[in-house]
Amino acid sequence: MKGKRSLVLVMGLVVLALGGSVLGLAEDGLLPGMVDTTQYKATGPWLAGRAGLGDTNAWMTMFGLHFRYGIEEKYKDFFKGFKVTSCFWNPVQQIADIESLVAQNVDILFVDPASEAALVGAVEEAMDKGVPVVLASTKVNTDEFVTWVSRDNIKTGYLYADWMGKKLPDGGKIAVLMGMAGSSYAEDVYRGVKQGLAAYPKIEVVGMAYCDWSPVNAKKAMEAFIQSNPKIDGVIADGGQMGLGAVEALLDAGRAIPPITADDWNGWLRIAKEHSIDFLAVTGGCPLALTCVDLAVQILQGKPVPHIVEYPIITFEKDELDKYYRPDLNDQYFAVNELPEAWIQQYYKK
Amino acid sequence: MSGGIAARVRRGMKDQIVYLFLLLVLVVAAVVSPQFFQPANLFNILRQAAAIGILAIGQTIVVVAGGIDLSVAAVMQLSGVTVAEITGGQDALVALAIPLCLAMGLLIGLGNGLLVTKRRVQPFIATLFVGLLVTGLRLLVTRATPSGVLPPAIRAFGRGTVGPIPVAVLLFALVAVLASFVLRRTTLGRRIYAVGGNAASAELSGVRVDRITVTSYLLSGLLAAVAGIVLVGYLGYADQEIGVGYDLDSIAAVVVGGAVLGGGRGRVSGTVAGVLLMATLLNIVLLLNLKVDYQLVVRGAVILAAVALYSLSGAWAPRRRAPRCPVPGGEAAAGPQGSAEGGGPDA
Repeated sequence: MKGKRSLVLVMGLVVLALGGSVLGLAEDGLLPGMVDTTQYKATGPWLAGRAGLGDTNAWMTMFGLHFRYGIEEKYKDFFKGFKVTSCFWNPVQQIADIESLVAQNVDILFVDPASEAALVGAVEEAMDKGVPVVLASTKVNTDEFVTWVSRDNIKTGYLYADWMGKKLPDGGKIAVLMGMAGSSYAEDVYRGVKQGLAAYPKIEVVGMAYCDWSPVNAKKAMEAFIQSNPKIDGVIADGGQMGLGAVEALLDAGRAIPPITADDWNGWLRIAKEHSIDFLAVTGGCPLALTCVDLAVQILQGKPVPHIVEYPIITFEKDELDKYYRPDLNDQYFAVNELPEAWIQQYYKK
Repeated sequence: MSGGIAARVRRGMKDQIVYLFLLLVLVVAAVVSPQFFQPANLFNILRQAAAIGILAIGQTIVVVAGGIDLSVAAVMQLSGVTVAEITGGQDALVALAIPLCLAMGLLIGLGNGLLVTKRRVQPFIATLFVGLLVTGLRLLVTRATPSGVLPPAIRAFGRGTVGPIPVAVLLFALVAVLASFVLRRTTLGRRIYAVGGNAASAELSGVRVDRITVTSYLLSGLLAAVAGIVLVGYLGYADQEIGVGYDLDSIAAVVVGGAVLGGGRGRVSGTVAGVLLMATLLNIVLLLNLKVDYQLVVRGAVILAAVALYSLSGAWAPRRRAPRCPVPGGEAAAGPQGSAEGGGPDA
């Protein structure tokens, strides 16, 4: 997995280079889509800061570990420290966190934004003060950042729907379990689901609920959908935790488990193995944090970096389960990651 | 005499507004969704309500005693994660894990109670930051990666049945009956109402206010730990995020059930109805497959209507105080019940 991410990054840069050779270089000698970072070049070792959401759930924990691995081990000679704040999804707190980190003279600032709109001023102010900002996962509604690394969330939803459509060629009734109403991430995924399902008019969505990625809420919603529908032919769940809630509801009701979409969360893979579930796993993309660190090193060395990096989506199904499921690790592990085995053992060993 | 009966009926009606609303919602549900009254669906609602119900009963005791407990969700999460961590999925360790979880709930409740009574920290602040402390310690100890897997014995709390009735529902009912009995029929219960109604008067009447306040937080912590075990049993899995938001949900259920946040008024039966109303509304909007915006509008509007009716009926009106009488030290007393109408243990 580790080599795969580097390969994809290199491929991305190659594509950009080829694009540049066809379209011609920009006036400043950069390939299109690349950012000149010479103004941020600094002598090391550097101090890094991360205005984070809070590593309090399984995904965020592994996401945060990728930041730490990059700074504390992969590039340990480049960095002298790493300051991390947690705003617990509160954008107002995150603005204060950004201001605090800038005041502590960080050389590079990572932000996993709590809001696309609310953080515009804080990010622009950090950039104006000469601190290069790397956005991880969610965007901020401004172009004043150096680079933004993200997964295509609409594509994720589309992949869910397209897989479900192929599983149900004669149509059927499905339930959809999404994240948090109003969250730009969740809305993008749901938009992708709707776009994907448009190609399969015989599929009927008989229940849709926002479950805040909570397995408890997913189970409650699924129990209601089961009561109102004698047969549910598929479940589109945005992530394994909600998938787990759906499976628990189906098991309690004595129903067969239909095809379900999920992710590479080990808890989901365990359930999928225990019950031989037909599933699609769309990787959550937590290793993109390490890509952010890779890019940060380039920025602080004054090397050009892409303004926008789309982190690749990896999918796998039931037939590849044994390749990804790790019974020796606890449920909070994510199968597609860039962490070395020693880190995995330290944090996820049962 | 007849005037007294009429007053009692009126007062009873005021206290049962949440039941009237629940009844109305059930009637509407029967009309719009034939699936609603299927036994399996009704048991689903009760099972879904069990964990938050047990939590809210603990919150009721604290609220009636004049406090508030914002640490309940953190205790609940700690309990759920701890039971998974200790057992590692093995039934043999359940006998160790459950008492330990309950002891942790009691310990945190004791901490809340002592902060409020001995250090005179406002209950809102004390319990909020105790909750944060507990959450932080949990994340620190588990490194935010708890094992999650539960033994079958714990899963039985959420998925097991006795005859047709889920174990979680039986537990919820047992806790409700016991708490209601304690509040309405015991000296401790009467003292809890007295302290919540007017702590100064209660103290002058010989009630050891601090002891009663600490006891209310102890019970809340204990029930939050029980609720955590029931919730992870319901899901069959323990995670850091389970129970997020249940602190405010429990307070909402208590208020919808007719309690007054100032203390001295509230009933377990009202809280149970409040919990059931909230769970039923969620079930109905999902059964009807309403769009999410309509789901939120319907749930919000119905709850607001119930609360507004309380206000209009005067059920939450300030109580008439007993005539002031001079007491040593210049304090005014209103009697141990501190209440001239409604909401007390015998109301």
